[in-house]
Amino acid sequence: MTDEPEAAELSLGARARRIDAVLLRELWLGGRSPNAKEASDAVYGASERHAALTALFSRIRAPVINRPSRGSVERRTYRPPDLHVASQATPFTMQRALLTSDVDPAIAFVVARGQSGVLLARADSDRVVGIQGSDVLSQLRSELANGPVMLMERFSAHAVRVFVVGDVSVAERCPFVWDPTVSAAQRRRHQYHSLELNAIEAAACQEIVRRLRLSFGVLFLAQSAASKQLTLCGASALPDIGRASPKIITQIVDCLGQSLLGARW
Amino acid sequence: VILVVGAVGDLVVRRVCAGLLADAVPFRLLDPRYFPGHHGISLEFGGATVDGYLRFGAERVDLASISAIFARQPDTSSLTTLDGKVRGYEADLHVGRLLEHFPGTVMNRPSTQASNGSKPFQYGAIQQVGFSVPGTVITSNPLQVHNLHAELRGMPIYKSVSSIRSQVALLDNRDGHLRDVAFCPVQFQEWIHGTDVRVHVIGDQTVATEIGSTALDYRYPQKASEEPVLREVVIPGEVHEACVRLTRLLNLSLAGIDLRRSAIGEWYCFEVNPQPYYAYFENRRGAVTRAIVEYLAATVSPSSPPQGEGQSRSVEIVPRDHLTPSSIASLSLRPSTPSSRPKARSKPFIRAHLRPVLADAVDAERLDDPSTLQGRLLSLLADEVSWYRELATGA
Repeated sequence: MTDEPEAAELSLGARARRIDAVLLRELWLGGRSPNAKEASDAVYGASERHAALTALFSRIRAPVINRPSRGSVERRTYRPPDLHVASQATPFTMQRALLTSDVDPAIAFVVARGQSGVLLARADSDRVVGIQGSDVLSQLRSELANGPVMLMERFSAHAVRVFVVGDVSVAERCPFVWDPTVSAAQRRRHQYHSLELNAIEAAACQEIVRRLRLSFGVLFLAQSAASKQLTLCGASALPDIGRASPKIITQIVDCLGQSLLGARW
Repeated sequence: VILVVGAVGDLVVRRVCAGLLADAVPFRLLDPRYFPGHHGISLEFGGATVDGYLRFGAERVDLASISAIFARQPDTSSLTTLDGKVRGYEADLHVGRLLEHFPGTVMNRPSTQASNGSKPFQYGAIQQVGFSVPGTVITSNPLQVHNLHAELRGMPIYKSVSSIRSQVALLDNRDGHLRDVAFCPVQFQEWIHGTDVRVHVIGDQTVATEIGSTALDYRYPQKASEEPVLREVVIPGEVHEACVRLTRLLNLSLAGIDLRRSAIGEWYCFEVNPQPYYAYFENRRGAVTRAIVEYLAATVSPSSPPQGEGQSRSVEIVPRDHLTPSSIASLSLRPSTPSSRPKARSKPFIRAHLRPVLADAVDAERLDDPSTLQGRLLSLLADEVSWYRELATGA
């Protein structure tokens, strides 16, 4: 590799039949080490595979969706603090969030939000849980005993997803206002409907994804039922288009196809 | 106020603290091993600015009063807490978010350290500033390894692809463990004959150290005659410029750059370390510590809010007793003071070379009660402060 990678070879084991998204995700994000004899071997193997793939994806002379770049943090999920810089000078408000290890500011944050409660996330997990009700303070103390937490404001709004591929953005919105009494499993079954963003909003979404050094990402926003104001709540570098409406999926796949064929590069 | 993030058992952290103390630059030390608990962090996002505070024992320091951060964040995930729980990654990620989103100068932010996770990933930037990179093949195919003597000039060596430290070793086709290459990708490179030079870049300053050793990997001498001999040297102007440009290109303000000057005077670069253990290379002149302290002190101004890189040079004078309250409160009773060099490897075959060397890892032991640590911290820092003050007086 004195100039550019001159050759690359991808070999599949005899039992492997296909490369699918799960396999690629495992390779990219760590995954299993089938030959590992010890736990430290597995950790080392995952680190070396990831380092090798990072180098390959960053330097290969071909379009790469989300090419690794110097200075970018490899992150799957972006919470409000991670979007603080990327969202500046956009028309969106930011979901307020508190990162804390102390009880007093956590209680103050919850009290300021009144009855609506807050969402709690751990930094090393994609999981978000709602905290509300009469025992909210004891819940908080219990959580803080296990380590620092991230608290996020919760509001009554429509969930909006905006998929961005390069300079194209497509949006969809949940027809129901977010209701904490509806289970997560039920919410996952909600069919989103297409949403037309105005030109400024669409451009802002593309700019945020560009600032995150992504060429394909999804932004999670909340749209106020009354004012229609959009609040940025999160983002992901690994968009799951499986639950999007068929029309949206078609648009995204078309854009990704054009990108990979070089039409958009 | 300067915030130093790091384990007090780390000699680099102690030297930076000692330099700040000796130069009367106000600072606080946040030892991630005592966060959360003795230390606290609270940051609120959503407005135009990031607001919040850091807590050192009972003392709160407003985020707005911190002008710069020196970060040497240890991995504390395997530590156990006082009640016997394994910490996990949560606390480290929380500290990482502080370093990432702090609005002032950070030496260095976690995101800028990401490039070091893949050595070949850095090669593009290295070549962009004009350094050479040895011919490299990365493969997990044992059959290809047998052809490397023809494919690469000279004697191929191998080492890790990622930032996990491994001992550089010569490739021997007779080695019965070559099939282990199938375990994961391995980086093979042509061996460059020459002299190793470690260049530390601090802002736009460089401090270069030549390493004289006959060992294949000077960090792991196999006999007394291979012990490295270090001496500070002056590098050519174009090499200095390239090192500074490379550091900026990777958005770093501190870097340890591994160079080798070949027998014909060509400069090769192997790696840029964003969190260099420079204390190993630093001679009695203490030039790296001094440059870091100057860089950080330049951000401190008693009358202005936190600024970006290289602002006012006015320094707030802090009385000596500023150290004694809970400002620098955390210290292990058994500080894991790094040895003068990384631990040597024992098994010579490929698998052994490829496994992680844990010399720099934080010991997975129970944490000490921070309330008992003050006196020990002061005595440790006192030695370093004396060392630093001797530098200033030329003693």
